[in-house]
Amino acid sequence: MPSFIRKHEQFLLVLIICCVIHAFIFLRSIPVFYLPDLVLLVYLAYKFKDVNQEVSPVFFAGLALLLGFFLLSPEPPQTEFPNNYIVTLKPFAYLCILALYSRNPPQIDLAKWVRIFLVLYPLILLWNLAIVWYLENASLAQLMTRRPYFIFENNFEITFYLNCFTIVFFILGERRLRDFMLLVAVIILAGSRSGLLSFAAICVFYFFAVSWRQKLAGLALGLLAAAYIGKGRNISAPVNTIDRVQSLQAILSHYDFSFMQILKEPFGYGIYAKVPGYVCAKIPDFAEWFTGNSNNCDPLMLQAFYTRAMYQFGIYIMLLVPILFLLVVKKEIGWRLAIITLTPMACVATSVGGFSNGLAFWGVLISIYVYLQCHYPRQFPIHAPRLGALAR
Amino acid sequence: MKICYQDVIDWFSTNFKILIILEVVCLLAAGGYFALAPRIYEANFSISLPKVPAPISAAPGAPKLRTLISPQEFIRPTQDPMAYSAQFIEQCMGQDTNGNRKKLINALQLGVKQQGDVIAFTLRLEGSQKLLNCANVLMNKVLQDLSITQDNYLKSIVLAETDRQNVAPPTLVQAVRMSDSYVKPDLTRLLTIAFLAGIFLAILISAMRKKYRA
Repeated sequence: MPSFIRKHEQFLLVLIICCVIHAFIFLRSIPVFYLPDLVLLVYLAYKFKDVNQEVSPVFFAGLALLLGFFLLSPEPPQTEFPNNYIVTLKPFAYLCILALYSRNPPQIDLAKWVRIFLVLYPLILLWNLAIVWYLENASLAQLMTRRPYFIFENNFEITFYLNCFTIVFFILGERRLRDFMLLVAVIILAGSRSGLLSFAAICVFYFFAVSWRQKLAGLALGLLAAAYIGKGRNISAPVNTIDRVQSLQAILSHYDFSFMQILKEPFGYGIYAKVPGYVCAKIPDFAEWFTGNSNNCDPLMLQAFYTRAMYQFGIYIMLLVPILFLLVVKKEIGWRLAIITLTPMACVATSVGGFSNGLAFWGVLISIYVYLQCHYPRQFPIHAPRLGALAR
Repeated sequence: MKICYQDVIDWFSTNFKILIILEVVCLLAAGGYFALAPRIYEANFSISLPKVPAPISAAPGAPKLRTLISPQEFIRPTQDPMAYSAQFIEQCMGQDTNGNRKKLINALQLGVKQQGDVIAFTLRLEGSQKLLNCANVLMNKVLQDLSITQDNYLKSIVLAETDRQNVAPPTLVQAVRMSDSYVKPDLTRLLTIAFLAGIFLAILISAMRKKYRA
């Protein structure tokens, strides 16, 4: 035992620090929603002096879309509350950042931190359940049906975790069954339906990449995760009882469920437009949930990026955003890895912000950085020998 | 295009003067526009569409009333510049010209509220008093037009006396409400545009100078 502790001393130290931070945020309800964006801003400022790269034309497309929607969207009536349009504009800002900073990785060994996180995160989720058990004296059966408290949001965290998995499995090429088992454990603990969707998409790539033995083991584990979440989250319930489906149906009703009507709004209704009152009235709880006022129908209430973007940007821009992301990422890591890297983000965009989420964006950015550090070690050297010991 | 930190710093040091000059020029131009531009005010009101008896249905919970016309059937003709009388345009815009008719339509935003049975009107025009008059005239015109449409419909069909009572006339849901102050020009937006224009102009001019200096 002492040798185990000595061997993993630094990992255990990180685990304890993470658990303390997690407990602190949990118990004090500290708002951390914009923390990934804050960290991103700090990173951009810190690494600005190292900017030196061929910038993709996508940068200008992103900039044009950002400025265009910010300046040219129709103004809202003064009688309405302003929208939280900063969130809406984030995908365009992320495109610019991705194009400008894609070859600007930090000098720390990201791969090792990603490996640490793969083991760390399920332990943090278990720690969370332990806190619940302690505070609420919950039984094991209650803990099994309960979803853990997430620092950010289950879909955001699962997306980031899936990106960490794809980094280790596809970019670093470490095809261990252990990592897949950890992924399944996280999906089960998180109990997220959208997470299950992203997981299923990643499983497709996984099955193409592993041996028959791992395929069978992976299939069994995947089915276990699906069955567990299917039972826990009542996945057999009618599709139109799912909140994201309800918001999609509500917004489609605005277009009379006609594809031609959707095509007729090439740039959508702009970032300042509210969800039409009669559409909002169909799903009143959502507006209250997102803005605290059932009359403040901010399009954020539509939740899913695709639904929101179709209404605010129009269907063409909605489709363009994932394509632009793919083009920038592909430029750095190639088609195959770009598709795998963006799959979690694209899947989770059916449920939450996806392309407008800071944590999901960090997942993509780190994937590119790890690829560069792994494949071009001379161009992107690592200077952090002390941190390397953590990965043992 | 290659972008590196050193190039950016070099660009700033080489073009700092022109950047500052262009920023000042653009911001002054924005200030001048802000001082001289007409003040656009906003008026909001909403009206519920008339309702008539719905077809009899055996389904439990089936609505007894339906809107006589759908929101789209109302909005489409309302956005026709030629659908307004000369007197109405004169009251709203001063003169009955083709330009003023189109200006009125562009100043009018229509939205659908509540259960899809309320039309929200947002009108943006120059001068608060003029706008208030126009909004009131428009509101009365819409209410009158919708009442006539409903009356004509009710005359054209055979209804039982109980059903004849069971109709909902068009009503004013929200009376004309003026904006607290002018909504255009928006100083923040104007300064943002001027600031960005200054940067883009400086980039453009420095690129042109670099290309044609020789």
